[in-house]
This record gives sequence, structure tokens and C-alpha cells, in this order.
Amino acid sequence: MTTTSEHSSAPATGITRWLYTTNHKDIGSMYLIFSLVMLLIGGSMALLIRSELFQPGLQLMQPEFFNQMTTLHGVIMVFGAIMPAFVGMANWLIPMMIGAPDMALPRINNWSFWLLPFAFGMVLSTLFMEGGAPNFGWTFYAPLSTTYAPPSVTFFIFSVHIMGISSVMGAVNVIATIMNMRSPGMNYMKMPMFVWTWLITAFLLLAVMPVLAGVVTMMLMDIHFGTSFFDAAGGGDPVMFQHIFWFFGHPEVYIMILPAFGIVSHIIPTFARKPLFGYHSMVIATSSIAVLSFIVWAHHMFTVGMPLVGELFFMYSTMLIAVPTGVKVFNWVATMFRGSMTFETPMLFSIAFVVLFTIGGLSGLMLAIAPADFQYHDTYFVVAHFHYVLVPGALFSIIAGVYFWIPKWTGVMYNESMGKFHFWLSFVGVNLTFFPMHFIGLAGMPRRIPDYALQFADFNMVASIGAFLFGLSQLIFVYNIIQCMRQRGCPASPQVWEGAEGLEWTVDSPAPYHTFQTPPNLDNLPSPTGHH
Amino acid sequence: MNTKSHVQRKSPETRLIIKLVLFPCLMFGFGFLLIPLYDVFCDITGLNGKFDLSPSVIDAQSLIQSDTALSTQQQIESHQVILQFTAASDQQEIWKFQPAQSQLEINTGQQYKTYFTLHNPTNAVMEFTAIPSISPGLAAEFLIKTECFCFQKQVLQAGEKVEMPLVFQLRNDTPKDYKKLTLAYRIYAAPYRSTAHVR
Repeated sequence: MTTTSEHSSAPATGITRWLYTTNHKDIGSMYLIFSLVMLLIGGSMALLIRSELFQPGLQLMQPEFFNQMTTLHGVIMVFGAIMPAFVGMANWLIPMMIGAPDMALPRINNWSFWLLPFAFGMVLSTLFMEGGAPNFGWTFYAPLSTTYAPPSVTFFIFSVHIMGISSVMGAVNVIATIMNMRSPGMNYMKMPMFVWTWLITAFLLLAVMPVLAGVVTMMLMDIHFGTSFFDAAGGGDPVMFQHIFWFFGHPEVYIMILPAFGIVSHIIPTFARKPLFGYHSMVIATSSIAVLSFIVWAHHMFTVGMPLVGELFFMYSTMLIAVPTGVKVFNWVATMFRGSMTFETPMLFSIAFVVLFTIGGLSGLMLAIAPADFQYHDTYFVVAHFHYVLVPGALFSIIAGVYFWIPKWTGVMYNESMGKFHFWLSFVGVNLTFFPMHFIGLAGMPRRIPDYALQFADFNMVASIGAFLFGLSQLIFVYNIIQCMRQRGCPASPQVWEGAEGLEWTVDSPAPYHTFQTPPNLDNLPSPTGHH
Repeated sequence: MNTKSHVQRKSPETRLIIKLVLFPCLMFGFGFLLIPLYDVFCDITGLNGKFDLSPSVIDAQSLIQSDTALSTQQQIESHQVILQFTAASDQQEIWKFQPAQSQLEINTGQQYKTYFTLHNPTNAVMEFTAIPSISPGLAAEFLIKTECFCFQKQVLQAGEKVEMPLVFQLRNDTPKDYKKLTLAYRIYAAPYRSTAHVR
């Protein structure tokens, strides 16, 4: 193995190992565990929401608390669960995939992780403040989030600042690592897809997280320093808020899905036992999605009263994104075509990803049609759409990735039958939860309401049952992870999966604390394009 | 010795990091820059149904042009349009803000004058910002206001009641599809601050 080295030091012991660590594997693990905790917290909030919506009428909570739950659920899932999980995987995998000994900026790496518990501690503490937690939705439209917000909004603003700083530092680190630390011979067109998608994601993060920081700073100034950025009385413009927010918000959507594209682009070739179909077109499609993401933001706000030219521009540019996305879906299907497929848990989640993400993409295309969007806007159809791309999309890819790489991380195979059980419960649960939302949305049920008209009762009940099925089945996932961390299970071989290719599969399982302290030899490694 | 040049010339890695840190800082600034950019963009394209909060020079010129066109060629005739007025505020029950006439039948190319009344029943000096909007939004460019209470903040003493004039005309080249236009004003009240600057 290339990994043993005379100055390889064992990890420190005790709590200081985790506080002071600059090791990319330690930090990656902390990110992943943090995001799992956040997933469970945000998921519990979703279950509270679904319990209230089980029947029409107000049973469990007051509308004010319901609004706090929808807000915190969104914020925690986006910034606390999905994004840190991808950063955790980037930490674990990018250095191993490109043959680097660690991330380029290890201390920054430590810092960007340790900011997160403080940011989310601050967000969660608002629940106990006078006036309650933020209640204006995760999109925090002004002036609802300024003039009419509870006092805790200031804490919300500062925590968004901290999350932003953490993400930007993480992104700087990823770019510096990928650009400077690839082992000799690994040029850009030989990089694994996960590395490619993360490189592009990191640039998106650098471009838009500061804009988010800017917009919350403007809110802060409106609230405390007497400015009128979003206050019409002082010459400001509330619609302006939406423009700036979605200038951040739409690229953010791709920040949450591009690394997912990378993950399934590793898993599907492995279990189809074929190289990824169309590597180059994957890279080009990912880049075009990233570029297009900057010119489509106003499709989130078709109903603000834009002129026809604006509606048309944002409609067509949005529909254009379906082209590179379609290329990617085609490539995954073509990779599976006539492959020697086996259906281990990571593959099951990845196939479900391809199918269900495509459903989410198609409902997105429906929403992109401006005249139709006037009917769909702010209904459960939108909720169904973005949950389809985020839950069986981003989250399924993360789960698939965890099952795929956890033998490498812990050295132990997870329990395959429990993994399959977890998959089928999740698959049924997720569709039971979110598919009926398409119907009630088209029938006119608005978002973000704790009570609803009687005709929506049946589908809401189905969705709530599905949500509990989906939520509780994640406990199997947690159990499987804990068992692996406790080293309960069959030891994994270095390659782990029969069809797995890439540098991370050339080191021992579990991966030694320090890997690739001397650059690996790439000669025997198949290139991701499939040409040797 | 080339130690000096070593110190001065940073390694490519360091330069990359500096660029990577500078870029988000610039993007933070860009977020704020979006506000003037947005206004400029809407001004140029006439999007957003907003019209100028000041008597615009461009508007006056186009008015002259359309007048000359009218007098020399008699190509564009005056036609009738119904103009409706609406007034609103956050607390309509406190500030009695109303148009003197709810609608006018007007001929394009002619100047009209109307009033909006506003009452400040409170014991405090208040200042009011009026934000106009016209619908359909694209008609905004044909409405020329020579005098409007929306051009500056209105300061009302405690208990004061005012009639605020609006002098306007509709350009002759207003498309005939616009048979009925609505001119809406919304006022925003704030306690009077003598230091407040007038936009």
C-alpha cells in the first residue's frame, strides 16, 4: 500500500482530537455526523408540521408556532443537513480521489466546521426567545422579515452570516485543494466526477453566499440602523429583496444538487460495471447548469408583476436548463444500459435518485411555464416539486454515498439487508409523502398554512402517514451507521465493491489516518472516461 | 541573492488563495451594487411599471416632440381615456387619504388638474411618502406629470388636512388599446424627522 509512512502520526486522544484536528478525515466525519444530527432535528420539525396537517383544523399547535416550524425546518435542512453533508463528503473524498495527503488549508478547514455548531446553536436558541423563533419562512421575504419580524430575527441574521462564512471558507479550501494538490498526471479531464461537480459547486458558493450575506446585512440595517432598502416608505422596494434573495437562491439550488450528480456518477458505473457514459458531456453539462443558474432567478417570482419581456426571458432560460440536466439523466441511463447490474443499497438509492429526481425536474419544468406558474405559485405543487428534488434527489444521493463509502471510512461493511429494508421503506415513504402534494397543490391548497379546506383532507392524511414512515425508517440508517462506527460487521476489502474504480479504493479499509503522503502512481488506474 | 524576490513574489498557491478570498468579498459588494443596477435597468427598459418620482426631462422632451408632431402633421388625434384614481395607505382608518374625483374622462394631449386629500388626525407631525403606480404598467411612459405630491415628502402638522394637487396629461401617442387606466397612490407615514433628507 502507498499509505504507510515513517512520519504518520496517530490521532490525538480525547476531546481535543476533535477540537484541534486538521485532518481531513476527522473533519469530514464531524461534518457528516453534524449533518445527520441536523437532519434528525429538521426531520422532527417536519413531522410536527405533518402531524398538525394530519387533519384539517388546529389540533396540536398555534399558527405562530407552525410558522416557526416551517421556517426552521427549511433553514436547518438547507444549511444544516444537505450542505454540510456534501462538505463532509468533499473532505473525506476529494483528497483521497485526487491523491492528495490532506486539504490545502487544514486550519481553515477546522475553523469552517466549528463555526457551524455555533451558527445552528444560535438558530435553535431562538425557539426559546421572547416572541419565538423566526416565523417568516426560509426565504425570509422582507418586510415580513424586517418590519413584522419577531426580535429573534437579529440572531437569525447573525447565524446566516456565520453559515455563510463557513461555506465560503469550505469552498475556498475545496478549490485550492483541487487546483493545487492533484497528484502528477491527473489533469482536469481525468478527475473523478465527484471532484468535478464539487469544483463547480465551490465556485457557485463563492459567487452567491456573499450575496446572501449582503441581503441579510441589508435586513439588519433596515431593522436596526434606519435604512430603507426594502421599505417603500423610505424609497426602498420589497420586490428588490426577492430579486437579491433569488439571485443567491437559485444557484443555491444547484449547490445542493451538483455534488449529488457527482455521487451517483460514481455509484452507477460501479454497480453497472461499466465506465460512466459520456464523461466529457457530464463535465460540460454540469458547467452549463452552473452558468445558467445565474440568469434564471426570477422564475421564483413570476407573480410579482413582472412585464411580459421579463416573464418570457426567465421562462425560456429556465426551460433551457432542462437540456444539460437531460444530458445527465440520459448518461446515467446509458451507463446502466447493458451493464452487469447488481442492486446493493447504494445502487438502489442511486436508481431511485435518477427516477425521482427526474420527476422533480419535470414538475420544475411545469413550474417554469410562466402562465401556468400563476396557478401553481405558492401552492403545495411547489412544495411537492422542491421536495422531490431535495429529498429523493439530494438526500437520497447522500444516503447512497454514505452506504457506498462507509466501508472505506470505517473498514466495516454495513448490514446489507437492513440497508435494503431502509431503502424500500424510504422509497415508499417518500412517494407517499410528496406525491399527493402534487394533487392538492393543483387543486389549490396554499403553502405554509396550519389549517386547510376539507377537500384536501384525504391526501394530507396520506402525506402525513408517508412522512412518519419515511422519518422513522431513517432510524434504520442511523442504526446501520452506528454499527459501522462501532466496528460491528464484516471487514471490508480495500476495493470494497467489485466494480469500484478510483484512487480511494486503492488504500486500505478503513482508510489510514494519513493517505497519499507521497503522490500515487496513476499508470495502472483506469481513467474515468473509460479509455485507458 | 534571490531571497528578496522570493519574499516579494508570492507562490502561485498563495496568489490563488488571495484571489479566492477576494472574489467573495467582491461578490458581497456586488450584492449591494444590485440595488442601483436594478433601478438603472428598470429606468432604461421601463420595466416594473414604476415611473419617475420627479418631472423627467426625457418625458418633457418627448412631450414636445409629440406636440410638434401633432401640430405639424396632425397625424395623431386626441382620443378619450378614462383615468381612475385610487388611494391607499397602511392605516386607511387613520389617514383619510382620498382622491377628490374617483375617475376622470380625459382627452389625451390636454392638461388636467386634480386633488388628493390627506388628513393627519394625530397629535404628531408626520411625513408622508406617496408611491405611485399605474396599471397597466406599460402605460407609465405615456403619463406625464408636471406637478405631483409624490415628487417630495409631504409634511403634515398635527391635525392638518391638505389638498394635494396633481397636474398631468396623457400623451397623444398613448395606444388606443388603453381605454381605462388606473393611477394608484399608496402613502407611507413616518414621524417627522427634521434631519430627514428628501429624495
